[in-house]
Amino acid sequence: MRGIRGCGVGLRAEFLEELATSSVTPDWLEITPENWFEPSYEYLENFEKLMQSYPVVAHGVSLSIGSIEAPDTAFLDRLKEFLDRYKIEHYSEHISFSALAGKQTYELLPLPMTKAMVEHLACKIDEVQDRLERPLILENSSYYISPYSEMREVDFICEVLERSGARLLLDVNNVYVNAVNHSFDAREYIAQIPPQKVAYMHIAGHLEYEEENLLLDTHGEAVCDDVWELLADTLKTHRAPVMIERDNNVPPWSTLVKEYQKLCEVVGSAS
Amino acid sequence: MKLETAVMQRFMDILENREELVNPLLNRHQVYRDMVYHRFYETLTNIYPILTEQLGDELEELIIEFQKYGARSYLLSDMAFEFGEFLKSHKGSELPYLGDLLWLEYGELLLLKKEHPKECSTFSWEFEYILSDSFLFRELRYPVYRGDFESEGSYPLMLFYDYEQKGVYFEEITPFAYKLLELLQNHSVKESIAAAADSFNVDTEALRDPVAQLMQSWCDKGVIKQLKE
Repeated sequence: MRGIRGCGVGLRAEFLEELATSSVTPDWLEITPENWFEPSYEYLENFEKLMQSYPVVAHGVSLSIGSIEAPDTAFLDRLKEFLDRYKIEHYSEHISFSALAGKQTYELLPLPMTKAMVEHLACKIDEVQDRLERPLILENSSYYISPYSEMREVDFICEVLERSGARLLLDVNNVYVNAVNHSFDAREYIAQIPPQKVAYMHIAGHLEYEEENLLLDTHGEAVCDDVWELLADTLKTHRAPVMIERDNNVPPWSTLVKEYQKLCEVVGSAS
Repeated sequence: MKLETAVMQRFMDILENREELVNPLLNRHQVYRDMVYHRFYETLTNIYPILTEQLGDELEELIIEFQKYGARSYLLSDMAFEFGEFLKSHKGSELPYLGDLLWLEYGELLLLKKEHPKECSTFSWEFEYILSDSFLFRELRYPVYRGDFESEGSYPLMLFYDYEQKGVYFEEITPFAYKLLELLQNHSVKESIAAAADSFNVDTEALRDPVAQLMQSWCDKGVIKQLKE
């Protein structure tokens, strides 16, 4: 990925000001474009400064690539305008759906994992890429139920990548969460992903929901030891930039920076 | 894609509570149902804290109804506006203050998101002024900003962005100030003052000093800005 190297962090309004003046800074930033379409005025100046000083990846949440209907061109045009304005070349989204027949849920919902869905996604990926004039990078999402599947998740993901030509945002935490929730081997899953297909990687924290015996991909906690270990193993075969996602219970940058430094150590040890 | 469409539609039906879950505590569909509900609840209670208090336990039921009705905007903040419109059509007759309260709470969000270039500092009769985008005004029927949802009357109110505090504040304004703001939307300062004076049967000259003070306070708050040639 041009300009994206080393370790990154998901930018949040909560630590925007602190980051703008910090001596410890990430190599690159990931932003959620929808959060910055209409930012609070108080954040705008620092946001624009950071957009000028960092390599940036935009990681969207509203595309709903798996929806049956055609992509929302009004949304795509607004997104393109935003990406062009801040000269953001890289854009990623989730293999999921969040809206159906125009009704929004604002959550990443699991898709039926079928051959027909692979074809459907490949067509929609083409349409989105044409409209945005950028390649689309897709993330393996977490899911708590598989509404219908003809194939294993990893096979579904690999077929989508193969058929569409898109690259993967490999979310290591999602692989871990899904492996625990759906009883498969996370390392075997990652071994099946062609390394050259991985554009970049995510790690994040999750929550153990004991009542349901379920791990929830909350992005609200520190990264756990198992996920650090899985990342370290992944880096032995898959060399790609990595970043930390933190979307809930966002701590100050002075706290998050410790986790960022740990990420740099893990990535450094794998070199 | 018939099968896939049916599977996804059923999933949506479950999320919208159109289908009973056999044992919700052991059903992972309930996890998604809770997540979607929580996303709506969190957004709406953040944007409408006073409305949340007023609706109490009824809010949950209304959110579920709204989910069935369908939010169309891809931005959560726009979803909150849609929820307001949904409420007006479903609860407007029961809650006559609803329009005022939604305007007050959503207006704060609108102003927080706007750019506020502060341009004007000293008012002078020599210059022309226009209204800025950094404020909103409305004649409320209920003084909801005081927590009073019953005293029907006329309550002109202004919402403005405070540059120092980086927040949105409200201020009660006089009927004359309200009229003047209305007129300033389409007329020059002098025409507006003359028309406002006429409406209130006051001599324009007598208004010169109080209006200058009022205009200065609006300059300070960024409500009006100097029209540049």
